[in-house]
Amino acid sequence: MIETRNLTKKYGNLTAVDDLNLIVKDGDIFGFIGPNGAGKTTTMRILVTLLEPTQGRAFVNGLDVRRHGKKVRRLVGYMPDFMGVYDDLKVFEYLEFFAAAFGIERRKRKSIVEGVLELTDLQSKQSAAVDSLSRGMQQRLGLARVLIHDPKVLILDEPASGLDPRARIEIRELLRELKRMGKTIMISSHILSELEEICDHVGIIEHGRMVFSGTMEEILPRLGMQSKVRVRVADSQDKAVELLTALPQISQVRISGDYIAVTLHEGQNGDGIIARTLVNADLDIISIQPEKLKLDDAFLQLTKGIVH
Amino acid sequence: MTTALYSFFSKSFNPVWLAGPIFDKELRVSSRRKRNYYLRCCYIILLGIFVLSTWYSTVIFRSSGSAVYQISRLSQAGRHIITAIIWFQFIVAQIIAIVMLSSSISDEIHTGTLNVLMTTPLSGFQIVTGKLLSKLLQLMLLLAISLPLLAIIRVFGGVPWDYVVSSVFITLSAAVFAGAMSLLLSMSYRNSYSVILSAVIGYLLVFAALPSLFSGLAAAGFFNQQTTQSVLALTSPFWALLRTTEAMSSASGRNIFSWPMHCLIMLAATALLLGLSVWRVRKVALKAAFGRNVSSKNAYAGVIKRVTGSPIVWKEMRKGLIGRGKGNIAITILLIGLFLSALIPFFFPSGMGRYSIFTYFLTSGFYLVVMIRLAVFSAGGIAAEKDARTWPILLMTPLEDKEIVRGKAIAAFRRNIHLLLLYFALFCLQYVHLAIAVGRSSFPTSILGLFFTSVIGLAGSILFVIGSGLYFGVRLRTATAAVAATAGLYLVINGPFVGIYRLLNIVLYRVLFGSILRSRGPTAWIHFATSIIFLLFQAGIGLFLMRCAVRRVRRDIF
Repeated sequence: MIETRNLTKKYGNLTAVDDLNLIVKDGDIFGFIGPNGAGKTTTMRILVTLLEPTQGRAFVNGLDVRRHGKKVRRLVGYMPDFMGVYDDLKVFEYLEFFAAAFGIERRKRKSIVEGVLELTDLQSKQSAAVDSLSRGMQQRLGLARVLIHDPKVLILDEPASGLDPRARIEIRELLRELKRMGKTIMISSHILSELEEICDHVGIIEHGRMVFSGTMEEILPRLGMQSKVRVRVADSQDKAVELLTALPQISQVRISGDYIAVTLHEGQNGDGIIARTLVNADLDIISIQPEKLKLDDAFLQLTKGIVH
Repeated sequence: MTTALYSFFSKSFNPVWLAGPIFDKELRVSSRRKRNYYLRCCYIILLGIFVLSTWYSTVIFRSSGSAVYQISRLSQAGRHIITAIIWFQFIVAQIIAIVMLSSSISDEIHTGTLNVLMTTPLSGFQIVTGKLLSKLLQLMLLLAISLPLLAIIRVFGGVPWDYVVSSVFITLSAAVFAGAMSLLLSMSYRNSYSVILSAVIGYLLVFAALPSLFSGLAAAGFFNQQTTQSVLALTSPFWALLRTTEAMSSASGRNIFSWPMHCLIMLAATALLLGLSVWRVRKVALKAAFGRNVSSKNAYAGVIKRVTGSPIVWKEMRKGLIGRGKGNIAITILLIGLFLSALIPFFFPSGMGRYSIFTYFLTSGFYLVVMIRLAVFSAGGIAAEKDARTWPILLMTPLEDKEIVRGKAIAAFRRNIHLLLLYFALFCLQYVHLAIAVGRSSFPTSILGLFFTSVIGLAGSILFVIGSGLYFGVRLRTATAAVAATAGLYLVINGPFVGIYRLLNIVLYRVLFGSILRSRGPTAWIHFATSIIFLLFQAGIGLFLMRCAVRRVRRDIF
């Protein structure tokens, strides 16, 4: 659905996007991650035809964004990283204005606007002035605007920034609902834990280059990161450490508070061997819990946080 | 007690304390801004064109006869040129002062830095004076550019030093007052172009319209004429400079008022405005800190209006002809005041023959305001979208670029149509009066010719202002810069002394119609022909700039 081929954008001497290649499949939620100034927003602006690339090509639904700007704009709903609102309009008027701008017939507009208001839970606010809405409500309104022409692709730049936890949860639920409706969503966010929960794929960008692209499961081998297991035993913690250190599958064992942190060699799954060794030694096991790799860890591993 | 008083006065009159860190910061920032250098360049170029144009029209164009005769006319030329430069400086200095200070406080509110300033030990007085003095210093630099020129031309003779000195001081005191007024208004409006508009209207109303009215009433015998003129000269900078120039040209050279007293009155009025600004600045900061108070009742006030026709035109027209908020209502009241004051002289038909200059002056003032408003709406239509960051969202819709620009142009025209009609009514009244004054002998050829010429000129100006407004709105980031650029270009083309129109007139009369002019032929028709050419020129530029705006819509979106 979305594809970039050797996409490059330069501002004078500064290369904001450098030979970027990415693919987002139809119906996926793609999380676009990177430090500040990495090139996320620039890439998104190129995809929505607001910027022209210096080199390379970008496609949305097979359409070149440079050649078929108008068609691409009909396919895409873009929510920028800032909330631009016409402060002299009411919520209904604001949405109807965009419906008219997208060429929707007058007789159909009312039902469409009411539909998106219902989807974004803004029915009660339809006659409120746009600038009287809270930040969370304005973000919802932004999403409602994006949906007004029923686009196949949604490109959302930091949609949850500056929102309180409740509003963030609500936005997340809304995105899940949109995925169920079959929309392809590209989303950038700094709140990595949120992306982790909703994204099918992630792309990590730094210095304008894609440093990783794939599913969460694919990150671990790609990073060469080792599996970690937390072991808790009833007593004889030192004996357990001694036994586990002797195992060839394990690279490191250390006591961390009331549990033992075990690091396995790359590609090893040590749940079985750890349990067997401890049971054979007649030690009482309270728990063996594999540590899940978090997106934050992967992000820190993959990027150095250098802003150019 | 003595120590406390000494401490208070030594602190209050210490220039470092008066200026404070705000003054320092403003100077630092302004030295980095390219626009200040552009402004100086434009000022020098405009002044140069102005002097050359005046020189050409007073010495070369009107010359006939030997070189000896021309040299003998140098003192007269020197007087003309110095008067022209002084009036140019006088008008431009006030406009620049208004524009420079129009965003002084509103920018601080908009960027949220006024609240931060209020958490420091800086007083409101220091903030206000720091802003005013830093901008005025730049203005004085601009004025200083033309001082050597004045000194050189004075060598031609015919101009007393007293005139140069008094006019410079009148200009300075007027500019300080204009700046202080703009600074005070910048606390009430979010957009600086609204500040400029209200300041210009208010300024014209107080210093031009009301004095014109009183002058007319005095001429009609309601007041003592000499006393009225003296009072007006003491209280209005326009009148002060007018009387000073008249005194310089008169045989006696005696002025009817004391110019130092006028300057003191203006400075006292400035102090009053600054006092008001100091009193308001903390209130404004507190209001900004707590955000806009949108009560639930206000938020839901008004009915939902359905979108009809072009969405761009609908959205712009949704604001109404007046616009929303107290600020826009105030501008409308000032505009009505200006219109009525321009209308009042028509109620004194007996005095109008002698004082038709007032009618002309006020009608021109109203016209100027209408054109500024048209520039604000056409330039602001796009630049305001950039300010509000809605421009990229609008460009993400499948609307064609030309559809957006055309919609903005139509909306700008429609939102000003009522004012254009009012101006047209004033304009017609003026010509009816002129026709009555001239008598039947010259009617209809000369009067009709002038009428149609002016109507055509108006149409050309409307197209030009809308086109250039849209172009600069697309090109520049802020609405204020776009409005200032539009007004500047309009001045370059239409300016009464510096404009291309004047040069075109001079060239056409000299090159093409010189012989007809000398033979006292039908000059109205020559003027008509010149105006047609100029209309095509102006309208052509307007349409060309509109086309350029369409092409540039998708450049520099962010």
